[in-house]
This record gives sequence, structure tokens and C-alpha cells, in this order.
Amino acid sequence: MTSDHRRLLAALAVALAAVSTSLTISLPLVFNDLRTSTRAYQVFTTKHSNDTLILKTIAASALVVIAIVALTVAVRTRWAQSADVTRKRAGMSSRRAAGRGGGSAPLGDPVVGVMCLAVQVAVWLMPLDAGRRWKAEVASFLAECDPEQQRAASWSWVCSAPWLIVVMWGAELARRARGVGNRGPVSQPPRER
Amino acid sequence: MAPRMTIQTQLILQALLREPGREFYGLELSEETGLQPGTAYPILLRLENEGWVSSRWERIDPHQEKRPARRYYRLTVSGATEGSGAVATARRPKRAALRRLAGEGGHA
Repeated sequence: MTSDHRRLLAALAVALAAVSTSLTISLPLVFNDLRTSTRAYQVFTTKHSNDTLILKTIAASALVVIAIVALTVAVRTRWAQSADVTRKRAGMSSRRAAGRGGGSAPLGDPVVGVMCLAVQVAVWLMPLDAGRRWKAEVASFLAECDPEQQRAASWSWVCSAPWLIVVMWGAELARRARGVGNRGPVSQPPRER
Repeated sequence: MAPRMTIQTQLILQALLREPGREFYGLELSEETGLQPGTAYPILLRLENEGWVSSRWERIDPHQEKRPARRYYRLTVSGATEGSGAVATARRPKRAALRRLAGEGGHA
């Protein structure tokens, strides 16, 4: 099974989970609104006893768990692909990372993979230049630190993100208010990132 | 306005002041100070905004070096003078407090 297939299956699992969960939550609410005037509610309540609702809730919860697992797989796959591209650009072998953390890639750890997704989300929330620079710093740090440090380091980066978003937007707005344009090329991370 | 002299800021400045002309990259500073990168990075940003620290991207070919480019930080001239002064004044109350504590301990 190729990584594309895995990503497609993961996406389908997420969609299925989302639909079933929303139906489980919304149907009783919809019928509850109609309970006084429609026969549909009577049909629904007779067909769906409390036991059935409990079973449906358990099924929905299981689907949510499957969705989370699928999402994690998809994130890891995507991260591994992008890491492979980075390694190829950097001329590294496919299973070996750079620097002292040579034994394993930063994204081999699923927790680090999820953290990297959070980093990506934080980058979207930051001003463009500052976000690109921060992301490049994170990538550079994680590529070179020891594998056993990666989890703590990525967690640290993620934890600092909310405050950094506020600070960076504050600085950006102040700069715009002063009428100063974008920063010069010195602040720009390298293009290959 | 000088940046707030937290203990973490002092640690970063002390690491930079040990070799004022030298450039440090993030991982190096993190190892020197024992701070997590998420703590060190905002401090470096603040110091850079104050003009105490300058930074640049390393110009390398990642192909040849087999690693991504680093961002290097170094103290500016004003950062070296103002930073050492700020660290010195930030230390004074702590030493005085320590002496007072030691004195109280000796009397007791």
C-alpha cells in the first residue's frame, strides 16, 4: 500500500467518523425539536431505545478513536514524505538524519510528528515572514538535536508558540503603524525551507 | 528600553558575553544555558529587537553540509556593553540577598 493510499484511507476514515458523530449528535436534537407535533419522533423513540443510543454512542466514540489514529498515520506519512524531500535536497540518505541525531529522523516519533503539525498550525497563525523564520529555526533545531531531546524540544517550541504569535503580531502591527515595510532579506529563512 | 532581566535572559546574555565576538546557533545556546529552545528563542528575538543581538542565516549548501542552515546570533557592540552592565546590575540584588541570608544564618 503506497503512502497515497494510506492518506486516502485516513481521509475517508476521518470523514466517516465526522459524519457518524455529527449524525449521532444531531438526530436526537432534531427529533427533540419536533417531538410534540410529529410522528417521526415517536417512530425514532420507539426504534431507538436507551440501549441503542448507548451502543451508538460507543460506536461513534470508537470511530472517533479510529479517526484520531488515522489522522496520526496521515500526519506521520506526510511528515515522513516532506522529511524525505528535505533529506534528498540536503543529500542525506533516506533513513538517516543530519548531525548528532543521526540515528533517527525527527519525524520518526509520532509525538514529534503531531508536534510538527502543531508547529505548522502556529506558523499559519503568525505573520508570514516571522512564521517562516520560526519554522526554519524549529526545523534546524530538530534536525540537529539528539533523538532523545526531540520530544522535549518540540513540545517546548509548541508551548512557546501562542505567546510568540501574540508578540509577533504585536511587532508586525507596530511596524505597519509606523509605516515600515517588510523586513529585509536578512530575516528571511533560506528558500529551500 | 532595556529588556527585562529575567534569569533566563541573564543566562542567554552570560553565554553570549563569554565570547562576545563569537556567533552561536540555537542548539548551541540551548546547550550552553540549559534552556529549552522555546524559552531561548523569544528571548533572542527580544534582544534582537532591542539591538543587543544581531542574527543571520548561515549560507551553506545543505547538500554538502548534510544539514539545514542554522541561524547564528552574536552580540552587537551596544549589546556587549549594555548587556554586561545589565547582567552586573541584575546580579547585585541577588548577591546582597545571599549575603543577608548568610548573615542572618550566622547570627541565628
